[in-house]
Amino acid sequence: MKKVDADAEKVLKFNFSYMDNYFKIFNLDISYKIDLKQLESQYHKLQSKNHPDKQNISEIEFSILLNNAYKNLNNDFLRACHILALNDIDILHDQTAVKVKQETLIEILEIQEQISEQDNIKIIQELQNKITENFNQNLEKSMSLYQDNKINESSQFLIKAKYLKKSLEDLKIKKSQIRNAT
Amino acid sequence: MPLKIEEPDSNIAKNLESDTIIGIDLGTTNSLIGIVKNNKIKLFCDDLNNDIIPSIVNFDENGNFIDVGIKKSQNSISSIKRLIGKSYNDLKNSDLEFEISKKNNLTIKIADKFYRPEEISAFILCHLKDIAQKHLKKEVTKCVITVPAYFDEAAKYATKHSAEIAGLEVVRLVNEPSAAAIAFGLDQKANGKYIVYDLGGGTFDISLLKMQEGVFHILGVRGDNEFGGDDIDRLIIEKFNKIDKSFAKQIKEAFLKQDNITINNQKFTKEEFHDLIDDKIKKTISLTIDLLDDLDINKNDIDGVILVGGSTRISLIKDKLSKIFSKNKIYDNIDPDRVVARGACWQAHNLSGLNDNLLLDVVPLSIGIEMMGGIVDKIIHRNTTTPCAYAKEFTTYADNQTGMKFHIVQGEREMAKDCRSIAHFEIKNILPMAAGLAKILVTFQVDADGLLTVSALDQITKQKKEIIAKPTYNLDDNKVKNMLIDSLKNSKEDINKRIISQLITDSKKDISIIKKDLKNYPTILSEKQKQELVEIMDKLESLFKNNPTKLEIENLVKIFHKKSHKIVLSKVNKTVKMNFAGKNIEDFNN
Repeated sequence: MKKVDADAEKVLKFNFSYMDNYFKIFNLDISYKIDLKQLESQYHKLQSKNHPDKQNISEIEFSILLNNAYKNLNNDFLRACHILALNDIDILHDQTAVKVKQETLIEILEIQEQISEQDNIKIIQELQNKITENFNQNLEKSMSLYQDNKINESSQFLIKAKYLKKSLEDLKIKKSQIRNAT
Repeated sequence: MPLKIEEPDSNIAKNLESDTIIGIDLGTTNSLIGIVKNNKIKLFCDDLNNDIIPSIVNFDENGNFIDVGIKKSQNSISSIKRLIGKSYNDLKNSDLEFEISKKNNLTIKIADKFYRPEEISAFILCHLKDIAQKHLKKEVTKCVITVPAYFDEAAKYATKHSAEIAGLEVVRLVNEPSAAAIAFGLDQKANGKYIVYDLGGGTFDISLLKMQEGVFHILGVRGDNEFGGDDIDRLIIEKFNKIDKSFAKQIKEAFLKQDNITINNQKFTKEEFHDLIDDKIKKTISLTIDLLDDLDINKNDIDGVILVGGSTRISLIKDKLSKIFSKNKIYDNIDPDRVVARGACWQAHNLSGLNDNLLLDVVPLSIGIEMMGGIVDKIIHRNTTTPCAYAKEFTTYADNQTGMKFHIVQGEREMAKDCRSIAHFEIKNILPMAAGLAKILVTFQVDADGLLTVSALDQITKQKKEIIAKPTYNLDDNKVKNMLIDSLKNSKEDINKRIISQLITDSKKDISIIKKDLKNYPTILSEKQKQELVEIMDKLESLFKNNPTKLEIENLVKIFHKKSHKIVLSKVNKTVKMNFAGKNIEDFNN
C-alpha cells in the first residue's frame, strides 16, 4: 500500500460523488427506463479516452467517476436508488432516509429465519426464486410510484427491495457454502 | 550485429521507438517475454531457442547465483511465485523443496545466503530482460507483467518490487485471465460473454468477461492461489511414495496420451488418476458456479469457455466443464502455454498508445477496514471496476485525540483476523478537540494495477494529514531501492559487458569483411576514401583494446558504416541484381 499526496478538493469531490447526477455524465435523462445498450456504448466511448491505460497524465478521477456512474446506472436496483437519491432520499448511504414500516421489518425477519435454518439446496433454490420475484415486484412498484410523483411511497417499496436484495445475497453465500461442503 | 543495409529513413524510425514496452508472463513454472511488432506477436527465445523459459533459478553450492533456465544445480529454486507476497507464518507448514527462514519476514536460505522471494523473482526478470535486449539490441526499461487475477495486494506489490530490483518499470500489472482473453478475443474476433478458466502451475483463476468491439470488460473473478499443477504432482507423489517431483510430472503428462501406465510393477489407470484429483478439480468447478451465481449470469448466456494454463490439458477438466456448458463452447485449441504472454504483449502494445483496445478490470478481493471488535467494514467490494475510490469520514472517540490508527484488510470474511492483512496506517497531528468533533475524510483509491493508495484530509482545517503506512508483508519502497543485490548488480554489469563484447565481435567481423572487399574491389573507392576508411578501422581496433564504453564504440561504428557504405553497395550491386534493402550482407556473401 502506498500513501499519496492528495489534492484537497479532489478528495472532497469523491465524498459527494454519489450526489452527482450520473445520468448527466452519459447524456441521459433521469429515468428508470433507459437504453442499457446506449449506456454501455457511451461508457465505453468515454473510458476509451479517460481510462488510465489511454492517457499519460496521472489524472484518474474522471475514470473513477465513470466506473462508479456506470455501475449505478447499469443495475436496475442501483439505478432506482440513484433516482431517489437525486430526490434527496438516499437509502444506500443514509440509514435514516426512510422510516421503515414495522410490517416490512417483520416480513424480512421471517425470511432471514427461513434462510438461516435451511440447508436443502432444492428448497433454497425455491426460496431464491420466490424472493427474487418479490424483490422485482417491489422495485417495479417503487418506480411506478415514482413516475406518479409519489416519492415517499416509492421509497417504502425501494427500502423493502433493499432488504430483499440483502436476503438474496445471503442466499448466494449459503448456496456456495453448501456447494463447497459436498 | 552483422552489417546491415538499410534504407536511410529506417534508422531514424528506429531511434524514435526507444521506449519499447515489453510484455512478460512471469509464470510459476515457465516465463515468456515478447512484443508486438507490425501488428504481430513476437515472443523472444533464449540461447537454447526456446520461447518458454523455465522459471528456475540456479545457485552454486555456496549460494551464489549462477543462471536462470533449465535446472542445473542441487541448489536450484523453482516455483518461487508461490512465495511471492507471503510471510514465514503462511508457509511454515507447507511442503517446500528448500529451506525458508523468518529473517526479513520471509527469506529463502541457500547454503549460508538468504534471499527474499522478490530477489529470486528478480533474477528471472533480469534474465528475461536480457533476452529481450539481445533481440531488440537496445536497453529495455519498461514492461507489462501478468499476475494471477486472484493475487492479493501483497503479492502484486512484491511482483512490482521484483521488477524494480531487475531494473524494470512496470507500466501495468495485468491479470492473467484478462491477458488471455485479450489474446483470444483479438485472434478469434470474439464478441459476447466468455469465461477464462486458467489453471497454471501454482494458481487457479476464473474470470468472466464481456468482449465487444475491442473492449474487454471483466465482470468478475474468482480464484485460488493455493492450487495449481504443482498440487496435482504432489497428490501423485503422495500416492506413490519415494518418487520425485519430475517423475510425478511425467506420470501426469503420460495420461495426456495414454489410458494406463505401470509404476513399480503397479498398474495406474487414467480413471484412478482422475479419482485422485477429482476433489481438487471439483473445487475449481464450484468456484466457477459461484462466480456465475454472484454475477447473476445464467450459464446458458456464456458464449465460450477459454482454457488457459498447461494444467488444463487434463481431460477431466474439459469433461467437467462440458457438463455445465455445452461441449462446443469449450475452447481448448489456443496454445494454453503462450496465450497469457500473447495478451501481455498486446497490452504492452496498447499501453504504448499503438492500438484502440480497452481493458476494464476489477478488484478481485474486497478491501475493508478493521472496526471495533475486529469486524470488517468493507469499503471497496470485490468485482468493482478499477480504477475506483471510496471516501469515508472518521472521527475521534476520545477528547484531545491527535492520531488515528487503521488496519486495512483484504478478503470476504466478516472478521479481520480471517482476512488478509494489507497494512496498518496512522494519521497524525489531528487538532486536539472534544471527542467526535474532528472530521477526517479518508479516501481509499484502487488504481488500474489493482493497488491501493490511501489519503486523508482534515475536513475542518482542510489540511492533508500525514499518513504513515506499514505494509504487513511487503518491503517498503526504500528497502526495495536498496535491495539491488550484489549478484544482480554484477549481472547488470554483465549485461552491459555482454552488449559491449557483442558489439566488438560484430564490428570486428565487419572490419574483416571490409578489409577483404578493399582488396577484391580496389577501384570502387577513391584513394582518399580508402585512406579514411582504413583510418577509421584502425581507430576502432585500437579502441577495442582500451576498455571502451558502448557509446564510444557505437559512435565510431556509425562513421565506419557510413564510410564503408559505398563499397558494400557496389559489391552487392555487382553480385546480385535484386532489391537488397533490409538484407544482410552475409546473405549475399554465401
